[in-house]
Amino acid sequence: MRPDSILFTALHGELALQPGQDPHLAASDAYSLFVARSAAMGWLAEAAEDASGGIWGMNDAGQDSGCGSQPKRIAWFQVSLIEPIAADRPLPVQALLSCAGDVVARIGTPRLDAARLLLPVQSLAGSAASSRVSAVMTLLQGAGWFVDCDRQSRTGVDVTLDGGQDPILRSAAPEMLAWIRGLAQDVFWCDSLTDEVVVLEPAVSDELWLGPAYHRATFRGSLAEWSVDALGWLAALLAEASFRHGVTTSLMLTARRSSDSASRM
Amino acid sequence: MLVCRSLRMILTAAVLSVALLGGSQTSAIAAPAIPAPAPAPYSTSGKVGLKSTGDRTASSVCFFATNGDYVHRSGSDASGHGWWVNGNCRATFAVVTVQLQEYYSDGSWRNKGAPGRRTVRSGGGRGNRATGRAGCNNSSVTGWRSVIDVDVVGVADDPRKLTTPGRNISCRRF
Repeated sequence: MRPDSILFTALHGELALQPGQDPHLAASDAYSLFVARSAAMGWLAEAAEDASGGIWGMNDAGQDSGCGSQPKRIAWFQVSLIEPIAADRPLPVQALLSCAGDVVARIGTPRLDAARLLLPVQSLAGSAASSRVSAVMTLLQGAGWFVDCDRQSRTGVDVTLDGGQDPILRSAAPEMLAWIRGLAQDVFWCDSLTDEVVVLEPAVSDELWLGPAYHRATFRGSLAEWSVDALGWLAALLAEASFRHGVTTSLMLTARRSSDSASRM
Repeated sequence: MLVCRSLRMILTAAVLSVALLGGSQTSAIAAPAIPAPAPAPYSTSGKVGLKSTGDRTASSVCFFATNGDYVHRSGSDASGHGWWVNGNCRATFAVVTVQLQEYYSDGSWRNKGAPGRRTVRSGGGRGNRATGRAGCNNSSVTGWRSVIDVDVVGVADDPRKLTTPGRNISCRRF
């Protein structure tokens, strides 16, 4: 029997607190705000046997005052995915990142430089790869959210997918690249695969996936905008691409706005 | 959020009887082998262990909710949080206790680790959650859940507890 599928995200960058706010005196924190927000949006499954609804159950969350190397981690969130995932639904990572973004924006004024996501691709295994076309179509429908993004908002990104001790991601990456390029969408233009690796600290506990990091590939391209919404959409698409090309374990996704972003807008 | 599964009523009249409605923590009855920690079958795990009932003729009632999260791996421990949300009770604090339980191959749930107990304000905000922890001996997939008890300070409440759904996580404690 496999363990709970864990969704984890960490936001990296800077968080300027609201003027006059002392985080040690505040009545709320990242955990309670995440619970409140995800309950309000219908995303939270109550931790009760006869509860209904929700797409994740709360695990934990924390706010950092600059943790690890640059860009520093400002907050992290961990939930258990409620399974099974329907064949027409992608991993709910766009909702997760949106909720996380709402929380940090409630605490202060964030500047997002990078993000990390643990993608439980194995939770998509309840349906055959071929039957997940409708989940991809759900994502393409959702791409309409970004259709009128200002061209000036287009941002270069490097996205490293890491399968840890599972080698299949590395060999699947070229086919994933070709598959993504074949989709009728403009949210993520994938230019190339590169050996450059996006690294963020602190690392995520190996017990949550097949860590430590090892078998990986980096997708270089541009996003319609640099936002938690666009990153969440891209993460969900990469999860579908991974599953379609044989990945059946959790992947660690690390995304960072590329340093030469301006030259590729 | 008052309308939820873990909603409780406090009856200011004396609680008359206590009936164990669910099998929250049971002992092995008969097992062919020595029971050992094991993954929990989701179909049978996490039965809500409700103890109660009170005097329905009581004239004064107030409401609060007992809340918790899914037991999860946190560093080298299994961990679960608990808190309360006040409805209309005339109280500021409650003592929240979170006891983790591990699933065994004989179908029993056994207390593991020390209970986390904290006197906290309503809402589950900063510093207002109790945490139960139990160290993992290894990362074998095993069933875990928590039993959360809330005692509202200064108000006589019933003895019901919230038992969270069993979850299989990569943590085993012997």
